[in-house]
Amino acid sequence: MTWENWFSSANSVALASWAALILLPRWPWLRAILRYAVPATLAVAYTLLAAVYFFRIEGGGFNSLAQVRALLGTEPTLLAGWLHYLAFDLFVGTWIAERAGALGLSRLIQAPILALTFLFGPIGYLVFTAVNLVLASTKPSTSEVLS
Amino acid sequence: MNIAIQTLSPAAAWTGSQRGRATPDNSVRSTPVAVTSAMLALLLPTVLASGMDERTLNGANLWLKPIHFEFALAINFATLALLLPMLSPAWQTSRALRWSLQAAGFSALLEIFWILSEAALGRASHFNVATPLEVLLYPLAGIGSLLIVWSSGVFGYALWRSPLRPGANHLRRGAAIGLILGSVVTVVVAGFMSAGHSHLVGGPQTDAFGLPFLGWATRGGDLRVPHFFATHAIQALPIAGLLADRLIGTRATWLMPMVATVYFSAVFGLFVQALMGIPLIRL
Repeated sequence: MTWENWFSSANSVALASWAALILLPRWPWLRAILRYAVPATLAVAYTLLAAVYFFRIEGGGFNSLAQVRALLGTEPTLLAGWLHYLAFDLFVGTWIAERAGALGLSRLIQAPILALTFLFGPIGYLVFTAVNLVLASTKPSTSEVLS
Repeated sequence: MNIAIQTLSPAAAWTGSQRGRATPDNSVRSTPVAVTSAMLALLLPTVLASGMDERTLNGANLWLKPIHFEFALAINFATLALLLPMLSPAWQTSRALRWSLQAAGFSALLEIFWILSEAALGRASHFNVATPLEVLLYPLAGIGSLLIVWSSGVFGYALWRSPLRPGANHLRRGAAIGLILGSVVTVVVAGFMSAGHSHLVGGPQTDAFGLPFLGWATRGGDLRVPHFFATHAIQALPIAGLLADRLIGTRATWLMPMVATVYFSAVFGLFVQALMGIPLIRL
């Protein structure tokens, strides 16, 4: 398998996971797969690539953009960087889903926020963090009306 | 009042259901609160982008339009969230209201993503039928905005049917009239605008001479002006009602209908003015 094949396979796994997270009922076994099994599998692949390929790059490192560019300048290291995104984005997605469920946010409203997190991770995180903050700090009002 | 209401302590809201099922109380309120928060969260980076990105669209800063929509949608859903306690408990927990709010919130989120994406690409969102995808998206956005307006109309009807509360009669009346008529007139004005190919009428066909921030044309008619005032009747009339409750002793039932008549006559005047190609403010 070429690196491109690995890249495509990882993307397919991520896409299927996000589709399940957005569309399917939140069965406990499915939540366990999406939150733990898939990110952990991606993490194993990341660890493997990082161990084997990261430390042989000339001028690679984390101290400047030039070093990071050099580090991610080969196919296996770039793939490792991509796997890092996929694993952590999905983990954040499962956190959003769990938290949104606990806050009573409808699945119809969760869906676009999760889709945003899938496409542009930090933007979805930012949006949900605001939603979480405001919903958790304001209390439901139905009871007030009874007075 | 013998309707069983499930009250919810903040602690229960925190733990909630592990299966992610909405608690009955929060399932209505959470939608407008969440959409408002989402719009405000997007506003900060969008405002920063408008200062950093030198690209323009038809003469105006690319990010001005997403900023307008984020503001307007945040205000729209915040208004609904604030008015929710004025509804009778039966309306608050009704399926009709819950579903229309959810459809509206879903549409609002997708609409702002579409507007932000087109802005990032340096392209128009509304009136843009340049590619097959955009031909598909523009009418879908139209359906989405109808759902947003529809939910305000349903909410206004629910307010109208809810019992009056002492000390807030004008507010409730103003809110009901504002939400119902604001929705109807918005559909008329925005529908008319979308049947054309631009918001500009007469004058130079560019947004380069727009008012600061609001962006309205200063050298020709601009249909966004009546659209703005029709849509923001949803805020203007409840605020007028609130002020009437606080400042004016009268209980006259005709007060808010009269205010609404004056307001929507002015909106009609602005609509005619825009159609005649006259700017609201000429510079």
